[in-house]
Amino acid sequence: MSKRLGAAVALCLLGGCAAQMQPVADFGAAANRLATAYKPFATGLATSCEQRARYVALGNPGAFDAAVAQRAAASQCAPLKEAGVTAALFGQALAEYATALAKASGAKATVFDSDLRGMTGVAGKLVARDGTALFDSTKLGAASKIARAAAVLATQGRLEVLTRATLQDNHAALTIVVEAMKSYAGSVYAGQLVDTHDVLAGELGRLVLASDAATPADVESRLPWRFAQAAAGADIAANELEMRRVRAFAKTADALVAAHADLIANFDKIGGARRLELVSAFVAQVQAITDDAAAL
Amino acid sequence: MSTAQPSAADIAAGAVSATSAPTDGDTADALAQLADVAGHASTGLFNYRRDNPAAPDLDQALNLEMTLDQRAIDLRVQAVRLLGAQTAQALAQMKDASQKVDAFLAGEKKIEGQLVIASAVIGLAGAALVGDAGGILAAVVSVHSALDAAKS
Repeated sequence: MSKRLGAAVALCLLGGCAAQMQPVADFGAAANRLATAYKPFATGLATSCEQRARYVALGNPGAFDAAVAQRAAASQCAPLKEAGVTAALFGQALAEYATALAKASGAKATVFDSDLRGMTGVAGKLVARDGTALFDSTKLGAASKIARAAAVLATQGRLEVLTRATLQDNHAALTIVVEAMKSYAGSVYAGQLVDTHDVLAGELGRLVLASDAATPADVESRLPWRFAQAAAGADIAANELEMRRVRAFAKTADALVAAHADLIANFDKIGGARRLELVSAFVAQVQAITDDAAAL
Repeated sequence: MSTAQPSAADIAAGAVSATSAPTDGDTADALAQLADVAGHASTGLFNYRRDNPAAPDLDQALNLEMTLDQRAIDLRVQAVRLLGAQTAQALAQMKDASQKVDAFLAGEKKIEGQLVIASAVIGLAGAALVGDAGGILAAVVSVHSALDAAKS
């Protein structure tokens, strides 16, 4: 027992004790990014609904005022804005959980450092009857280093117990919340995006038809339709980009839950280089999509 | 065989009946699918109006279209509410887990821990003073045991 503990202390002194917490930190970071990728979906539901309503208004007979149409669209889609607030809660819960895991895994097990420094200072002032220092600085340094390693080991152990319990206790909850995020993104939001896309695509087709100039004399009168195509095309591209994000999310949220289960199953075995490829791949995928969006 | 163009009522009839009020047993995904049916039918009616500006039933088409639009919105709202209700407990549990971690990290620095470490420093320093590796190890073990015992 003593040899094992001594070896553990030696390992702490040499390389630190938190190697197996790194995958937890990685998971926390990946889950946080998943929550970040999800965040725009919550507000996007009402936004997409409003866009569809505006395009429908463009095709209605009678007077047209863009500001009035926007207000009407906002009013019509207001219930979806409220629903988006509920949907946002799922992402917030995931983000908070991810942050908690990252905190636990990234916590510095050095909370006793100031006490060690204080006691080392006191011990350093102790002198024998002849006035010589009881503990010289070299020995004090060695002793406090060992004491620190022991404290780190003990604290690290407590953090690991907490982290393991947190992972185990919350796997079912995480699964439920991520499933809800998937349902929202893949069913509710995606359905709205499709509805909007269908109207946009129909209108773009009509703009193309209306842009046809049979004679050179007709070109001038067709210019508004021709210019309008660019705006409609851009709206369609943005809609399709959002749909790609949604599909990427739905496809890879499962990977996050699987990685969470993997962490629990292998908590005692994992090393600093534990695999989280699926989650990492997702993060890269989301990043690529985000980069695409930034390039628009 | 001629295929008669469907009227606005034909387009909407199936959709309206398919999107009737959901039951309590419907899942969020099922509600979302009903919303999709309503939305798709509404778009069909919109296209019908746009492509047939002289059709005699344009007013009826517009009314049905607006009804279906509203139904699609209502169904999507219901789907999200259902998701919210189904996840309420899980959301609360995850929030609680986050708070537990914060509480742990805040409470880790306790007076008991300080006292254990304070006395351990003296013991370890004494062992180091005599250069006794075994004594150092024994002192480390005592630190570990003391901290274990102090666990709350």
